[in-house]
Amino acid sequence: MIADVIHSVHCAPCRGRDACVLRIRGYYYTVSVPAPTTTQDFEGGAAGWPLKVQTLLDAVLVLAGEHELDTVLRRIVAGAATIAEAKYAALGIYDEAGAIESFIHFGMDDDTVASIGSLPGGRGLLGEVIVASGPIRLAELGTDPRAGGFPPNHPPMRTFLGVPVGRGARRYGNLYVTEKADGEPFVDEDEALVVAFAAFAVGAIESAHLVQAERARADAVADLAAATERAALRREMLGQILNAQEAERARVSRDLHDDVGQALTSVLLGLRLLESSLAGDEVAVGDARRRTDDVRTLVTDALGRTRQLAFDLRPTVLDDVGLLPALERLSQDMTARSDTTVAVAAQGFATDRLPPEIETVVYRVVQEALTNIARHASAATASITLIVAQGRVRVLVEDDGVGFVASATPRRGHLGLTGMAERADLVGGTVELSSTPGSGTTLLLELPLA
Amino acid sequence: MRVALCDDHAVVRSGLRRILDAEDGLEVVGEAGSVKEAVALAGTCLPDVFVMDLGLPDGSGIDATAAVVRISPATRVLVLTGHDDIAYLRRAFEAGAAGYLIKDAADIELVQAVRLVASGKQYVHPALGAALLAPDAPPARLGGPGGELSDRELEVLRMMALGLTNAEISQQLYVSVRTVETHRSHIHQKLNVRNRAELVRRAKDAGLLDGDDPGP
Repeated sequence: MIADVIHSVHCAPCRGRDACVLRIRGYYYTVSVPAPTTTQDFEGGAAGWPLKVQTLLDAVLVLAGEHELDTVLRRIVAGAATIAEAKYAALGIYDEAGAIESFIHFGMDDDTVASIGSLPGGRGLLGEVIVASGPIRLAELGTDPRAGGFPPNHPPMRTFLGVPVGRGARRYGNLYVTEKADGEPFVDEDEALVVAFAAFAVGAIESAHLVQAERARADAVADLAAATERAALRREMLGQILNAQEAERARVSRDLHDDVGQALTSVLLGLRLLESSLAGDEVAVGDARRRTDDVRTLVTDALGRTRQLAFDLRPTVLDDVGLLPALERLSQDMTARSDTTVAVAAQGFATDRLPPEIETVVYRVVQEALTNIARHASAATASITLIVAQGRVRVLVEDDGVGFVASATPRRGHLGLTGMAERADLVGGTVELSSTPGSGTTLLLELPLA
Repeated sequence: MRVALCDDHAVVRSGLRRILDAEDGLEVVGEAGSVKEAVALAGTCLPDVFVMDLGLPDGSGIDATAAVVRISPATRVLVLTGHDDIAYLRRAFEAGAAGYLIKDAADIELVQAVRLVASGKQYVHPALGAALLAPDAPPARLGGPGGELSDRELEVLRMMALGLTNAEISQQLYVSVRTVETHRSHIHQKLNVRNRAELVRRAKDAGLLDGDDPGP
């Protein structure tokens, strides 16, 4: 909005011409106009303004109310045509390399545009205005040595005025008007008005850019907020799922232990009773004993497997006794079942128990790490060390196996590192895996205890 | 000899009862299915031997064991369970149990185990007994076959016991990771250990980390 219009101020850069200084949204714009040396130079407009200045101000006002870049550019072109009384007008916006990024035109109907085909590429005169320091004004476009010629179906254009659009070293593009309505060449007055209008156009373009950037920034902020919210939701859901999974595993594990285990125990006891009740024919009794021995072997085996299954699901010792006994049992199992000897040590534990959610994360991460070692490391020994110090628990799982190249990311994904990191993250912790080929692998898990 | 049973599965209880009753000189004098019932039974019957399951609906057989022994100090508790973790065994003996039997072997070893604990001895299932004796504590002196540790090696050892990685130790000591690796391998050789966990146990046994470890 135009807050102040200060006119008839002598303007030094315009060297003797009068200028209108307009303040729009805190910015001052100097509109230089040819000095009215004689009264007949201008036809008087309303309120004594020269009619053409009135047209300029109208175009400026229309421009000032707009923030959409596309609309701003179209209004600049239309405004320039009106101000200069030209049949055609165009605005070439250039990218930083000087190529035409967009070309907005006025005065040609769609059929003509379509029949010409491609838009100008910035060669010839259009390009000359880019490098020229000031306006270019021609009475006969075709005869200028810089003209590159028109493509087929292009309407004839003779009179030409090209004005750079920019501020200081920053050039946005050029504003062109052609074919003055009365067939006469463009005059000083036209040039001065279009130059002034181009100055406003810069402000409008910059303002639209700012609005665009602000909108993009607001969108980015909103996107980020939405992403953060999604991540928090995902984290919460993951936590709930993992908790539910652990609870379910604990329940199934206990059921296996108590119900299936007890049932099998009953069978064993039944066998014993059956044996004690056997009497009579020596051969028949011997045969029955062999059969009960076979059944006993089967049941004992089933009991052992049930117990192992229960342990693999979620060891009851983890809930009943604590993390260290559970890890000791895990390492004994691995030592017995694989070629890797596993040792466990703890340091700094003031109490037997850590918070249950911490114990679960440590147990699951160590379990995963040991599985990796058994599968990939070919290690002779592995070591689990738990250290409680300075309000956090630090767990190192190390092996002396073949190791791997730390940058081999597909391998890292393969090692279930993401799952481990997600579990750790749920309790505010981190997981790091480091290795060098030939000197084993170290997994470092750190969790805060507060 | 008067025996009491505690197991929350009636089928198991009746099987145990029939096996024990069939033995000369053994008599089952009562059955319980929970911690509460077991404690009450011990108070009224004062059995010679109490065969105790660990997983009970209202609590743990370990708590029941402690309560039974308190109420009837002459009663010998034989734990009969599906748990084959050493951790449960340790707890049971801490609570005052005299024997620990795994259910896989209940039919064969039960009678022998009951007689053993009744005679004042302790009974541990053979497989667990072997685990108890597993040599996880090497001699508690620092400086093995390879000689004494240098001051620098002691420093590295302490940092390893605090859980520092090679990279972190190298930063603290202003030496290269390679140098830390060399120190580590010398420490391993001198103490005859193979990894950090063994090293930490060794250092703890030697009292080297006393200042760093607040408990237990």
